[in-house]
Amino acid sequence: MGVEGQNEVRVVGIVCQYSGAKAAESAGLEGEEYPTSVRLIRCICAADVDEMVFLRLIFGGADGVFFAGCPLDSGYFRQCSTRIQRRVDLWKQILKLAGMHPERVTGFWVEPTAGKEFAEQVNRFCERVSRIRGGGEKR
Amino acid sequence: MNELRMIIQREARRLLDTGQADLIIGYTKGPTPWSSAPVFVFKREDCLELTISSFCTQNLAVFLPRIEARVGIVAKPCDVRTIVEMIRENQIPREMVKIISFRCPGMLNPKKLEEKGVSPEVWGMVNAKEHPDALYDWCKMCVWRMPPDKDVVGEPRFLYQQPDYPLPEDMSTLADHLEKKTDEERWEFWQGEFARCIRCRACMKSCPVYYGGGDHFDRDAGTTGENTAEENMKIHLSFVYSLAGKCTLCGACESACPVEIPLTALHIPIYRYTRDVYGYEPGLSYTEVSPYFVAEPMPAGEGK
Repeated sequence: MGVEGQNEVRVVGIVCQYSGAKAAESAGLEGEEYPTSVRLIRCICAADVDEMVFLRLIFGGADGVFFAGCPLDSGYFRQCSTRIQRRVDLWKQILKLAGMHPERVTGFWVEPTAGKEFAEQVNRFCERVSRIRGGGEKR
Repeated sequence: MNELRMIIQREARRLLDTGQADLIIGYTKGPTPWSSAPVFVFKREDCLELTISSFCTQNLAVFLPRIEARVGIVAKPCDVRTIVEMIRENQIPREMVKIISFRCPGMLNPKKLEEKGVSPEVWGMVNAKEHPDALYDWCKMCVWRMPPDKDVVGEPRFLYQQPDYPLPEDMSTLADHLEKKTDEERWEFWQGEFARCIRCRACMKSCPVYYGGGDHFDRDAGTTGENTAEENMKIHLSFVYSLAGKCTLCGACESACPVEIPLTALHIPIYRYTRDVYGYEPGLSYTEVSPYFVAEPMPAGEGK
């Protein structure tokens, strides 16, 4: 299973249990496909994941990390989507400072029932990450 | 600087005499001519030890959460901003702190002075106004050098002021140089810098608004505990991330580093990014909150 030629991309998703993980489940139920090499970490709120988790993934060999949270303005926790957005932007700046590719991290928002959208977003991110890796950039 | 020393001593005496403070935390002469050390003054006659120079790079606000007494503290404008941050985050009670502040001419880098050929003669007699090129990077780009409108303040009010003293000809900082380089060069540069890190935690312990205290150097905090460049880089990046929207660029971390890793080259771009994108500068008010912690209040009736 999985999209062709992308199986080897190591992508980790940090998904919240109210929207991200539910959307991934919906994607499975609806038969949507995304690379099998994507690993999901289910957490309570994707905005409040410790920074060391992210750094461990990026330095530990993940090609890309995405955050999937609740839709804007209807987050389970107060303003969690806005916080994810701002923190992802901040991570991009920090990765750039350290000399890594800023596109290795992304964040998006999905409805719990939007399995198709989730699969689309993940596929798009995996494509981008594999292009970065294919471009000969080590980091 | 001599005049400033007299003002600080006078205000310290006044605070002790009137019973507004039980002790004064200030700067005294350091072990070498171009350095300074913290001093705790309990008695009126000891106030003569208090002094100020162009080498007072420590941020004395780190002591505040550990002291249960009324404290008078000598603070540079950037330190005052960290104190405001700490009061806002309930680290210290607001009524327990009296701040003695002054108009800061900027702190000088002894290394750059040596390069210029200035010889260390009398303690602290080098004036920042005479050697603007020897300023630290974060002092070069500082625009909040005028803290409150009084020497001793209960409630700091910041006045934006263009500096009225000579600025260096070369205003570029190390962060600007790194920005022009490619990703690969930047990675190599930081790998070289962090390979030198001896994991002493001085940078994290000297920061008053960082509450991790260097725990990330321990093995169980998400790292392997090995002293490799990548592990050190990971920990320092988590330091940068935690300080986004809180760092006031006082430079205490970099000047505390025994192996001279230019840490503010990581903090300055993040400070600029926060300022330019969200229009937020930390430590200027008691009510504004960093954009990374809470977003704008939601309109009533929306969300949960």
